[in-house]
Amino acid sequence: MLEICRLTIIESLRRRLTLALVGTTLLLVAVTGWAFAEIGRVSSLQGIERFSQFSILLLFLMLLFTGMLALTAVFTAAAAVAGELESGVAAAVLARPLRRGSYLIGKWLGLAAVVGGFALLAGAGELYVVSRVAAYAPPQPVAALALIMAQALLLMTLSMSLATRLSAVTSAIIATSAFFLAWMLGTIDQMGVALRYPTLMTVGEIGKILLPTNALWQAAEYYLEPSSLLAMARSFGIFVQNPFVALSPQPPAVLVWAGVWCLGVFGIGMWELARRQI
Amino acid sequence: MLPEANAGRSSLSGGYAVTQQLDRAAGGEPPAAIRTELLERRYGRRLALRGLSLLVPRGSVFGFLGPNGAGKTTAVKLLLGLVRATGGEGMVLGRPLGDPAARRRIGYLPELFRYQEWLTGREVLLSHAALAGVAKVERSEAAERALATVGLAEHGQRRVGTFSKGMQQRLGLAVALLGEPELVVLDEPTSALDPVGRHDVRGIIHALKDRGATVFLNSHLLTEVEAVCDEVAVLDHGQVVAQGRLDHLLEARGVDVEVEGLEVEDIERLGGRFSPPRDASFPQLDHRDVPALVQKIVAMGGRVHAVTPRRASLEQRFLDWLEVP
Repeated sequence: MLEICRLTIIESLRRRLTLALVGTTLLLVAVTGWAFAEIGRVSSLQGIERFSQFSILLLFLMLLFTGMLALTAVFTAAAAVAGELESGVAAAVLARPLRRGSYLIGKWLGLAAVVGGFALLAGAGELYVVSRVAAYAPPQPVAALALIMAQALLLMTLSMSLATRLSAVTSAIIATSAFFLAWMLGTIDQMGVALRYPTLMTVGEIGKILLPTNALWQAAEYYLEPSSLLAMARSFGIFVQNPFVALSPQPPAVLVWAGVWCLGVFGIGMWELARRQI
Repeated sequence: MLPEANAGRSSLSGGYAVTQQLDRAAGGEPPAAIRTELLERRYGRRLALRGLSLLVPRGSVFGFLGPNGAGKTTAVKLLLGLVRATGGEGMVLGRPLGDPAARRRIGYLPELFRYQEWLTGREVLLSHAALAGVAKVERSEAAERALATVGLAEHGQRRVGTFSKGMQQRLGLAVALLGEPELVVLDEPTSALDPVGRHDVRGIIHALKDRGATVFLNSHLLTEVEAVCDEVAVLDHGQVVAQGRLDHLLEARGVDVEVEGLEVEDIERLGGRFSPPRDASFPQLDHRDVPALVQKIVAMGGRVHAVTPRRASLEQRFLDWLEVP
């Protein structure tokens, strides 16, 4: 299992995936730093309004970052699993005294190191540069980063499990579509809450159960919002019900469900790999 | 239909012949490296393998023959646990099919040999040595030894992605030899090799046999099989149509004798045909009757220079078993 994990990490290094992710991180940090510096320079706002301006900008950037992270997780995982199964590399490896479950766990650990490392490095880099350039820090950056990373790992798990049966492209497309669909359902849920319309809320709840990625983003989002922004948002009422604002923290049950969901989907992947022809 | 082909089919009908063989194996002969009974693999409605019953003695070089699409690779994957059987049963090295403990003692070269192209040849071997459970201190030496055996000693530091197809197949062979496995399964091991490479593979197979390993050679190259195998099984449309020792399967009636001092009539009285001055042929003679024939010729005043039993080619036998006109 650890050998498979080691090989997965070496593959990401040798195939220059790690290099690409480090390059992307540097670019993200540079663009974020530049944007905050420029906005800080030209903005005439002061005090709490300036503070809120930075917090909204950071939320947008982090939302885009989670999208980038999701795509990275999905495509990396699908290629790593389906690629080896389709090419025949896995046939030689799985003929060894290695259980298929151990093979998949090893892959998961290796990919989690790469994808999780990227999430933490790039996310922390962005928050750091914002704190240096704009003297702004979100209230709970560690919790927010942990949840953003969890969202990426959840999508990675989904993509891996699909790739034990489907081709890399198909798995990645399904996982990506599911990610955006969960986002749409999350938005519907928020609108349902704002309008107090039960049908929309039910659809949103079903969305959270089917794929809790958006719930994880909303949980992260809440930890990125300063109390002043939340107070302002609440004063606007239903007009701020949108995917870019979370007015309340996610209940612990959602986070527990995300963990259970992840384990369940991974279990299905293991079962599928165990019964398939190599 | 040929007698040996009949025997092959009868073993399928009720498993009786194979059961007898298994009993024999249990009664003191060396245990089988592989034995399967009525092994079956179905894909939906299609039966890829129907009732495969095999007995591969330990220490033998076993040829597994068949035309394209006969089910050979499916059978190999079943033996290694890469595909699950939908019927029947089998044991490899005394363990159920796919058992990790048995796989620790098996080396495998897949038909589609692909290794991580971003690793060097040596790294591939070190990785497989780790997966095979070779002790950490022995891995480096085992990798070097395997590279040298397959003629890649000077290329161990090169990335696999830069290897030619033949070199990749040699690397696959090295992977299969790691850790001195008791059973080496080679699926079309020379498909990408030049004549020199094929010669080298024959040498490697002989060396494996010399150290007591069992070699399961899946191939449709009959000359290759004829050169190295002790026993063969022939698969067609998912079932065994002939199985046994190669020398027995290729045995044929008929003897050619180089003789002097006899007349045409003398040879005809013995049931043969004579082409003076020295060539006599006895097309119906059983090989076991050769000593008696030589004795009679000598008694009639003939001088025997050579006796050559006739032997069928594997290719001819193969076509007979597949009932190709």
